[in-house]
Amino acid sequence: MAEDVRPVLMDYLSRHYDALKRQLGRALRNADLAEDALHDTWLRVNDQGGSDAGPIQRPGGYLVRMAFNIALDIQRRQSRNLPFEEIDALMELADTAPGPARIAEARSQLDAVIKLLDRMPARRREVVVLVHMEGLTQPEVARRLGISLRTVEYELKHAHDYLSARMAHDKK
Amino acid sequence: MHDPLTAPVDDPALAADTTRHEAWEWLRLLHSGAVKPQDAQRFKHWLARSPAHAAVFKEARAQWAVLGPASAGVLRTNADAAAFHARHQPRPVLARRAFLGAAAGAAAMAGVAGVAVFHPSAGLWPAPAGWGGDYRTATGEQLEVGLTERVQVTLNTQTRIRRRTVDGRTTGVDLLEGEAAFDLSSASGARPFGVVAGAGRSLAESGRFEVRYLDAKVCVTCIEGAVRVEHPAGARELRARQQTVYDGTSVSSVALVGAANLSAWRKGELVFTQARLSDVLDEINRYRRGRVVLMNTAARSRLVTGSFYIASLDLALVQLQHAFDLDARSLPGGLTVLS
Repeated sequence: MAEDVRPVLMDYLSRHYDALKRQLGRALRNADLAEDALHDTWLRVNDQGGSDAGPIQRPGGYLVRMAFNIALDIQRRQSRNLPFEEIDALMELADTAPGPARIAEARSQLDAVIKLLDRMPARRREVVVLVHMEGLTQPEVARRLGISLRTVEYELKHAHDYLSARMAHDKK
Repeated sequence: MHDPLTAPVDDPALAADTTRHEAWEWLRLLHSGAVKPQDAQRFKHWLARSPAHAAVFKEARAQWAVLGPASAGVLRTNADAAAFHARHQPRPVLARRAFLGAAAGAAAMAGVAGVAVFHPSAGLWPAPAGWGGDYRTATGEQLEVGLTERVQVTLNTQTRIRRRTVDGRTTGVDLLEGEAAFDLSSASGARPFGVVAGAGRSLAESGRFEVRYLDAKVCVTCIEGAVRVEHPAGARELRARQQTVYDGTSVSSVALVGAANLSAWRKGELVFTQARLSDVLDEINRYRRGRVVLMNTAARSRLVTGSFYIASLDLALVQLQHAFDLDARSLPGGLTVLS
């Protein structure tokens, strides 16, 4: 954390707190949420300074963006999880897209995909197995394997990027 | 998901990669178990932004569906992968054994009593031979178990199941052998309940279904609601009164089941429609103590239609003996020879 950023941000925050709160309240269309988010922004800046190093040209814009992201996080935490039927309905939204039924085609790739998994590093492969065969969520995989959630996210993303690239390539 | 201010990519190959990565990121989110209403909105916008998005998502979704069966496949064919996977399975059975080992110096009975205290589920079935499963039934026995608040399991004769948990939450069972019926009361947003038997897995969110695992063959029957059967050779969607059979390498197409044959065993009956006598006797042997052996080759493929009460299978044997004009001899050790 660049040490010189924090005082600049703290200074800007304390001098323009009310203006920032109004601006954020308009953007979010929710004054209470704006207040909570700006409060959390204050705490975060006070704790850590800016989240990325380097000089900040416009502290106002930087702080609003940061508060906006914090507001989205707060909203996320407070909102309900969608039930499975609604998630299924979302998945099926793409079904109106043109193109042949892909399921059968993908199935015929099964042996090829098994070979791809065969060559994968052991931990990455196990993450795939736990997510796809056992249906675990990523935090559950992290606890099961005793690794961080960040590592699980990293391994799964790399596995997916690799597998999907190979599957797209093999099809051609 | 991605910063909307990012300038559009000019290189078409790069743009295709980006769309593909985004589609998979959406799939990960949609499978995360914590999808929020605002995610749904953002996803709809992303889909609507370009026809390519919907097409790429559809393809990614089909590829995602292959990864479950492929994972099962790699565990079957790659010993290292299977060993790695096994090392990271939560195993209540191992914990129990570890405890027994620690208590080995003490009297064996004290050890067994201790198990019941440490593992309440084991206490329900304190038989020394029961280490291989959390619940099991003896010959002719049926057992009802409230597995969770919403899942009721009925074990038929000679059946072993093991609970699968994730962080203390029951997500399903392994059916190690035998036959079990699952009643799932519906709960909004409930996660699917899974039954792993042999090479496949059956998943349902609500309804009733049965899984039978005998002689390396697994038969899944949906009685109410819907069941998804996942297998390395493909997936099957079962609706009420539909059935599929799989073994280690293949899975049958979906077949309809007659109402009379549907879970008769739960009503204490065995129902046969045009079944070979040898198959009927095999089935009776599963429920009845002792063993019936048919030593008459010609009679083996005679056909039987009818129903018998499980509680009085000796009577059924007498009926069959007369119907097919067979001799019956009882031998020591519970053996009955029909000839």
